[in-house]
Amino acid sequence: MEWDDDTLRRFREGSPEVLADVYRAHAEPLARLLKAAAWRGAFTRLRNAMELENTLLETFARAFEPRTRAAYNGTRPYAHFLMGIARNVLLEQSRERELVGRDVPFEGLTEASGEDGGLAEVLEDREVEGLLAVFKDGLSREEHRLFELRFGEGVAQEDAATALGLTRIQVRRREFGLKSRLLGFLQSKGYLEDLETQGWSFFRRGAR
Amino acid sequence: MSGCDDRRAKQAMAALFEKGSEGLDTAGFEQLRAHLAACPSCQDTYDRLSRVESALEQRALPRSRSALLEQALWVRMGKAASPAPRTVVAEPARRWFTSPFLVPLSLGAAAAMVALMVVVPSLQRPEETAPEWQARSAAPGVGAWGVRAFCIAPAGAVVAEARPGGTLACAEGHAVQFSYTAPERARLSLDGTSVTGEALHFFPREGSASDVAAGVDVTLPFSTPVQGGWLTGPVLVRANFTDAQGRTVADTLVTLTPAAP
Repeated sequence: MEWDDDTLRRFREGSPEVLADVYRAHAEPLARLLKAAAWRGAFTRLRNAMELENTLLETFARAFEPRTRAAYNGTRPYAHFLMGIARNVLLEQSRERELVGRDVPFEGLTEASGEDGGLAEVLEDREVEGLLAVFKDGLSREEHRLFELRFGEGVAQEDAATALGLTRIQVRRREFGLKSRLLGFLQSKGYLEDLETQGWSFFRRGAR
Repeated sequence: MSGCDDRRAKQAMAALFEKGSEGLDTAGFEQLRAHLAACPSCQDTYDRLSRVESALEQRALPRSRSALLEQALWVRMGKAASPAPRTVVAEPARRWFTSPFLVPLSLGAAAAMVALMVVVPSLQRPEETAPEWQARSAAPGVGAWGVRAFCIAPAGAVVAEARPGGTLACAEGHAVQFSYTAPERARLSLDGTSVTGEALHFFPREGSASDVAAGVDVTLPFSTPVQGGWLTGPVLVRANFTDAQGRTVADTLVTLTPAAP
């Protein structure tokens, strides 16, 4: 995203719109950087999805504190600024957990994915990719197109509806059906068996 | 690999997978995260779900998680900015109302959903239907400036709504959510005065006014819980839109009143 004077001013003022823009522009890249660092051997706990999400949340929460916002000058790449905060977050977490934090720059890490479970995770990723490929092979042409548009390309529901000649509601329903089938398929193959797919409780968002 | 009997957590994860960010609201996501923090078994399942979604979307952070984390972020920021407990000593300075619960998108989404249902058709309606649909503006015919207020129940349902110039009754334990309509970018502030004469500042969270983009029924990013006794009588809330030079371009009034729970 562009950091012009107006954007920087509103960011420092805490404009919700700008903060949302900054989050949306940087959450995925930061997640990628953190995951890459984890795969290279630094803070391997970030291979765990929840740990990664917790770190992201903590990093953005600190980055959006008024004092931290004021400290950003708009010229340094914000991704670097964020990564510095993330690194501090991780080191603090390591200290709190009495783990040995690897106090080395992310850039300086060597490849070490074969250690501490890395190989197992690579194999599991391949297993998942294989299962997804088999599932996609079993879809009709239209389902396959919807699957690709929505999940592969991240196209908005409205745009996917236009591309497929459907209404947004139809896309929404079919998408839900596809995901349910995918979950059933994965479970039939022994993956995610532990999930409950029947019945709802208070977690469900009420119909409006 | 079982080890956990919490069906709700498992159902929540399934809903998250099947419906994305529509499958869980902010509160549900927070409850799930709280459960995960203490349950290695469910963490493992959550991890597998994320692995599948990441592979599907070719992203490190699946879109649904990103959206829910964003909401969690606003909630957390709101809590961090929550006002100190009210003191008995009269404080002339205005009180900052920055939503202790600040349920930005769960409550906001509820309001937005209602708003969208009302607003979207209005964009295509002919002029003669203006009285029904034009109420977002404080001054019909002058321009579409205005704010609306919604009362949101703890479960997230919109239970009442007030258009510009109207009155919103909202009970203790509920939350007040505002949305604005502005035909062009402006600066917006929302201020009121309680029955005890206390100045109440609803928006923005920091500073006297904040830039808002042009839009129709744009939900403000946080809501204000009705708690602590600030809504014991009518509160006249003034929404003031100003231009870059600080000149008022529009004013809207909404009255908030307490309602029986």
